[in-house]
Amino acid sequence: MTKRAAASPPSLPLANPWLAAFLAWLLPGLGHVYLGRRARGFAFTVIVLGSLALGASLDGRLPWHFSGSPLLILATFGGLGSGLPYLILHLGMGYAGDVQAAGYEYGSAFILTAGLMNFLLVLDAWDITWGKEIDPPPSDPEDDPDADPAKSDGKAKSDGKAKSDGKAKSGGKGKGRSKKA
Amino acid sequence: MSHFLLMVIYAAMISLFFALLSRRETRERVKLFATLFISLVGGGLLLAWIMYFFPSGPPAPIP
Repeated sequence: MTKRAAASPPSLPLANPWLAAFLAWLLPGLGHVYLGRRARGFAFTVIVLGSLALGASLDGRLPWHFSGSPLLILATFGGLGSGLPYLILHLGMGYAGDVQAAGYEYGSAFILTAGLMNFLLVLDAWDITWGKEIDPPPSDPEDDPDADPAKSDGKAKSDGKAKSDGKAKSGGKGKGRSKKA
Repeated sequence: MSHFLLMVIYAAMISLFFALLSRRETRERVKLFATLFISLVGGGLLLAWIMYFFPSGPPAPIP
């Protein structure tokens, strides 16, 4: 509990990780909007819903199997990652795909990819509430809060201006980050 | 829509998603987007070119 509290960014003391994860699953990007990352949230909404819509327009398969072949069950689980839009497509509009359509295989790939991308967004929203946003690789000493300051300074000097400028810009957010697990 | 166009759209979508998800700075995002996009499209074309040497042709006769 103490560790988690220490890892929470000071700007989001009341963010509920379960609610953030649920919203992120329910509508792609909504979790990020809830956490104050509006621009990213809207961008994710466009990408994930665009992928789902394109897949459906190509008559790709919308897996809905809860028994039988394990791979189909896995595909259903992956597709359900898209959340409410997936349920609306299946339950509300009765969409299932057309195996004879020319774009069936591509459409299925787009639909499945949309669900899997949204699962990553759910995990990202969860991480943000605990102050563990995805960032550049932790091998970069400037990004590691526990790194030796002398080494960091040396790296910053040798890397040139552009890199240190970039880090300075993102420094405000990074303060709340915990060390990568 | 042609297969190539769909492949390019798919690559662009995936690249944009991961660039936005895993990078914070615009410059880094553009760099990751370009790397992923070129890798996906280039890899697809390379695979297609390799497949040229293995045409499906008529099925082999059963001995």
